Amino acid sequence: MISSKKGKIALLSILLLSLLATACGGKAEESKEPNSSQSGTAQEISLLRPSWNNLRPASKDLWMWQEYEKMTGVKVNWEELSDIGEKKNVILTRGELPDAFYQVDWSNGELLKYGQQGLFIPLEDLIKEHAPNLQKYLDENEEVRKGITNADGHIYATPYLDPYPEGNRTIRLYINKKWLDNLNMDIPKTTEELEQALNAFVTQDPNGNGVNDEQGWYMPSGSLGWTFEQMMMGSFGIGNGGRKALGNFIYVDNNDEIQLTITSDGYKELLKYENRMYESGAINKQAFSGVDYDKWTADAAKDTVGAWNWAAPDYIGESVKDDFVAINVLAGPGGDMASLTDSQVAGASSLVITKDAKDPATILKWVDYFYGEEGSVFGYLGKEGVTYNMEDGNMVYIDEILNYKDGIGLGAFQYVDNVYGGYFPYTELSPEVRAAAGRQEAPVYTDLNEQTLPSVMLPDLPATIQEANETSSIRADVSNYVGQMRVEFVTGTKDIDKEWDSYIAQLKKMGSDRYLEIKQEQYKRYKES
Amino acid sequence: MESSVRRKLSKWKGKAILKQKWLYLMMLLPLTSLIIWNYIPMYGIIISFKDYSPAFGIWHSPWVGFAHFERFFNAFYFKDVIVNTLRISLYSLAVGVPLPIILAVMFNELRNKRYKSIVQTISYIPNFISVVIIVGMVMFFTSPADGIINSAIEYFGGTPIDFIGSPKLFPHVFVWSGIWQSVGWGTLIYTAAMSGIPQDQYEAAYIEGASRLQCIRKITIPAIMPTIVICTILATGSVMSVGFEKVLLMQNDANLATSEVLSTYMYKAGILNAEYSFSSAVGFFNNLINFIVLYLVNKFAQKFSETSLW
Repeated sequence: MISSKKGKIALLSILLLSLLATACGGKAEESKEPNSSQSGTAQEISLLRPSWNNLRPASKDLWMWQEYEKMTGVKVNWEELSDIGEKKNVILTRGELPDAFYQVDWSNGELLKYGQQGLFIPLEDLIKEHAPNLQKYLDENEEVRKGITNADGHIYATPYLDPYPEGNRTIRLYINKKWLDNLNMDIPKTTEELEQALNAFVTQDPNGNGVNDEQGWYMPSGSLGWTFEQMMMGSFGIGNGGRKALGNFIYVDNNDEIQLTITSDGYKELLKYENRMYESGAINKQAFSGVDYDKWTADAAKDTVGAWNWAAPDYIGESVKDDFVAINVLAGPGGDMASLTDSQVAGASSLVITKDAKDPATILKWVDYFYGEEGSVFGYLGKEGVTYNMEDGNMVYIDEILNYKDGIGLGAFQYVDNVYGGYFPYTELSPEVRAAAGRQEAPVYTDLNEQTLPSVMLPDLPATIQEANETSSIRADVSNYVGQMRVEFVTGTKDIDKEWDSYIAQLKKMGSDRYLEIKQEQYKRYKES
Repeated sequence: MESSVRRKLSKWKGKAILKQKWLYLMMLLPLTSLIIWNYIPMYGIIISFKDYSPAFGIWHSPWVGFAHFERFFNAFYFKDVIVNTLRISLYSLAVGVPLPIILAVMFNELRNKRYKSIVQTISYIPNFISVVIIVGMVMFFTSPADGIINSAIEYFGGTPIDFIGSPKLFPHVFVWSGIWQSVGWGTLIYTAAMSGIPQDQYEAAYIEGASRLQCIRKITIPAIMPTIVICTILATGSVMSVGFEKVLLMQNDANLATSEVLSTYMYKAGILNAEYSFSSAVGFFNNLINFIVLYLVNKFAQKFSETSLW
């Protein structure tokens, strides 16, 4: 009896030990594998990308990529990861990197740092040789060349290009046209008219249900700062420079100099404007906490949303999106206006090739197709007769896509990849073509033209490593503080006039002056490059 | 003579080990796991003194001395982050340590066995709910627009309170929702300690005419005192560590003034901005403080009670 018990324990411990041993052994074998795959066909590349597998088939099973493999003879080994923003830097510690990062967003500073440390390879010569479509942009379009060239003169990534400001590059204000009509009001043209309209929305029961359930400007909590407020910067004279500049707290003034938005008088006025609207209820009381996207769309479906910001109306949900009309610019108190529009280099790091790529030329050739007309169509629409058909000269998706249960966008996403403008290495199609694909007409904006677009729409300004190190820590503190103070100023817990000087003093303490200096320097370099 | 004693002693020790060899062999596995997962990774702490880049790896990244620590101590938010962390964790300690004890004593005094086990089970249940759901529930209950708490406040004629968007209320919401979740579970260890108290002590006290409160004070509490001391020491050892996921989930711009704690600060710098060296310097500092506090509290306990960790 005893001996059998002992035997059992012995057996168990041996088992456990062997488990440990195999665990170690497994590791050793695993690390061998990549080497063995090297001996496969030369036309094989490995790409790492964000995962969309909860919305559509995995990349290896997606119609588009299977078709493209047949067209090019290049086999792609996709590795797909969710939450890639948090993981991308950790991935760099792997012994063997993927050949390239696809659709992964690296900051300028990261590109330069890892480029100089030899993890990412410079692409400008390879592009010249193997990527004629992209090279054409670089030759003919200053903005694109400057936008993707780093401070050391190298290009480490191919971009996501969107030549059309009337498409997803512009964040607009959507206002409830049905409510305006019910109240006999015109579409606001100035910030003052907007305030009046939103105040009327929350007091005069425009949805006519007898209950005071209407909201004025209303979006998921935390959106205010980077949607509404940034758009209004154009109206308060601090909105020139494009969306990326505003996101970095800078704008281009009338003397073509970089200035800080957050310390300007225009911003002070803008905060007062927001504060007034918040107190009257024209800006939703939960603008800073407590509302997530699901709650917001649920409320919107009950016809309670007066105004909100986005690039396209379907964000609010299919059932109510047609109630809204887009406003691209509003004239501010000083008559200023500028739309909130991004640079045509909408994403500066859509494809990055790493040091471990065996055949960078193949990868560039493979991706270059999508910078040409044909590739753009292929990425968004697919192939004629398979995923789209010609109808009155327009390319229109097949019925399976048009009648897809969750909408046309997701329907197309089951076949092709580049549907949502999501920073693909790719040139975006025009809004007309994209709308026509779903048998729709692209909205025509009369208020978006040469006069109302910002005179410059900057990409992320190329930074040296030292600059990037310096600004990133200042920016982190400043962004934290501005976010906090926005809440206090807008909700009225702090008085803007009284506290403004100490607010500026705090920002200076964090290094805002130095930040501005660096940005001005970068802009000077950018213009000269 | 002395040496022979020593030899005997060592011999005796070896024999004891040999006698319990299976137990020692069993211990090997957890010990290995501890070494692999908790000790070997510790060498990574050197990146707090280096400028770590994945291109060079941990060994070959350049040394920078205390640069990251200096940056942290000079950071604008240094004081705020430390104060916020301490505020939340000391608050948690102040209510989180005594409440399970009180509840456990109350459970112990329940005479109806069936009722007691039902109540205890109910009190454990929140512990098994994921923190994401807990935070979702907190948001849902405290919403100023349609939350149940604010609906009640409005029903009685008050004005709705934005619990989750207020820097003043954040520590309370955070700590008390945590208490709600973990207080039942926290009673377990005390309940176990109380089950070891011989019933005849109570009977004797009862015969002597002791009241219930006296029984609690003179029998129950002293009996579980060692457990209380150990639990308190362990709790103070994590004084600088505030539950990371929950803070991050409850954080928003409106309450950032009190909700930015060390762990979220580290997450933002380290993972989101990829400043691993800086982040591990902050983490190192954090653990250093934890260790010092643990050591001091343990010393204190050694001095004033018979129980301590080592």
